Amino acid sequence: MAKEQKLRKGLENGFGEEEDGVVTEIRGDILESILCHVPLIHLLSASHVSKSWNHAVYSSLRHFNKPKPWLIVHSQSSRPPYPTTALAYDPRSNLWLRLTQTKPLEDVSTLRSSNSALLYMLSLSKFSFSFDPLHLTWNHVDPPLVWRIDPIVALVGRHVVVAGGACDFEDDPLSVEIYNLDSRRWSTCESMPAILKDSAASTWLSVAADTKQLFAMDQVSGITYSFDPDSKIWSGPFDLRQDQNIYFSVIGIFGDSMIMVGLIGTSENVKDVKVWELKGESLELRLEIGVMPAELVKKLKGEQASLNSVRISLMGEFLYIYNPGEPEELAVCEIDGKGVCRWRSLKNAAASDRSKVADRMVLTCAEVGLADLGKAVGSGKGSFSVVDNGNFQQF
Amino acid sequence: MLIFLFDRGQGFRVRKIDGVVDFEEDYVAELRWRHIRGGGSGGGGVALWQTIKHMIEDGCADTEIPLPNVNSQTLSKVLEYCKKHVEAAADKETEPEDDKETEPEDDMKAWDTDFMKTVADMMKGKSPEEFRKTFNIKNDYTPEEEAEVKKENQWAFE
Repeated sequence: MAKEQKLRKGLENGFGEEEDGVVTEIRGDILESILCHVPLIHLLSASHVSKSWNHAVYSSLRHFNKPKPWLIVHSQSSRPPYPTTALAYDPRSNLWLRLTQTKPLEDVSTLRSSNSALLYMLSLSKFSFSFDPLHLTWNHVDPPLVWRIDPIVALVGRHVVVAGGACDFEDDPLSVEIYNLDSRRWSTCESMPAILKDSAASTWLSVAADTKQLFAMDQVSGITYSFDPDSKIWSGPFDLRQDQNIYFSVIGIFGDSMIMVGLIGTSENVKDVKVWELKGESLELRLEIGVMPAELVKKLKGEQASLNSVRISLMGEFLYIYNPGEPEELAVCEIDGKGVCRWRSLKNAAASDRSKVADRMVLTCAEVGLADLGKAVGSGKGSFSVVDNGNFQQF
Repeated sequence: MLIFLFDRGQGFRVRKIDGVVDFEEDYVAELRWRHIRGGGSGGGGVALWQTIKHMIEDGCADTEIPLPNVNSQTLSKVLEYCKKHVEAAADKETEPEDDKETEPEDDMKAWDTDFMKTVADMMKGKSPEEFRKTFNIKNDYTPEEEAEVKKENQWAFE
């Protein structure tokens, strides 16, 4: 009875006023559950509200909705001074963001990437590369000795490996140079195996690199070699294809193993797009872990009569597959702890802008945490805005 | 549009994991109602949510609910609904076989998700100061810590 009276009194007086100065806060597990629905970019600010909110933000990121690797689409204008823009997709928050570099790079040459984590630009006078998650930090060094148009470039431990891609007939098309980040020196290495003579460029080779070695696969024949920058020696060949009907394949590093994506059938009649996980000393343990749903294959193919090639960008448990000829459609493959693929389709926000059709597009992937966002914003190097249905929501 | 249900202590809780609204009966009388401006409801269709929505639709202002004017009958109805849930949950513990009670639980789950998402929407694009204002949070950083935080957080909002 007393309770009911109390309740009635409360209703008559009206609730919601802070008449007694009691502060009601959202807190504890409620707050953490709410925060798991908040996009990572907005959590940066939430983490600075109070000590308990800071704790809740990090706890929510740890237990409820972990940060997931971002896909970053760099577009470069085809007109001088070739400005670049970057749009990033955050799968945790299912959100596209515009990433603005506060101080744009000067003296820009063609933006390239032959592997998920490293961006580079090569001109006659310098070699610029960037491997931080958001590509806000660039290193500018002397160019390699051999002039190259389309080399494969990858970061292997503390070495930047630059191989092939030479255009001049006087130069060895297979020549390899590595740049040591610590000694800041270039050194020349053993050339790439002669069998790769006609495919020694990033157009034809797919590159996977971990901290110890680099793998280069001829996308058409499937022949693969590995390179160790410490010994400067190439090993191989490895034949990584189990299925003889693969007509095109690309590789990438997935945790401690390798991922291979293969197109099966013919380019006019793609039967399947499959994903394998390769493990072991010489990658002899091969396990088919996923088949792209037919609907997604159709989307990748788009209006074209054939699917000649795909490119991949991957980091952590996320694999993004796209057709360089039709970059509007992205296939996203999330590989769970048991090695099972979950597929979905994603519209490339950078390609939906018609005025950007002529732009060059380079995709990278990165693990982006709250600390990386804080660093980017705190250092004043970068800022973000949310892309909302093609419009930019400024904040 | 959103209504927060809060009590003075820790009686009222929304739990995401099991989707059960759990509050001790002793606190029912002390349920406090706070209203905060927010975004859309995003579906739902639960009795409680519906009741709140009706309250909003029934001629209250479009961004704020002047709570003192809310029909006490409506509020009692909502409270009754909550109470029923507690009883239903208690009943369910003794009779776990009863299928009839699963439906409101699903409703509560949907309501919870709605609640979380709506509050989450309110957290977008706010500066730390705006967060504190909207959610009534005390800044417990010392001035030194605050300076350190500010150094890390030159978050420009337009």
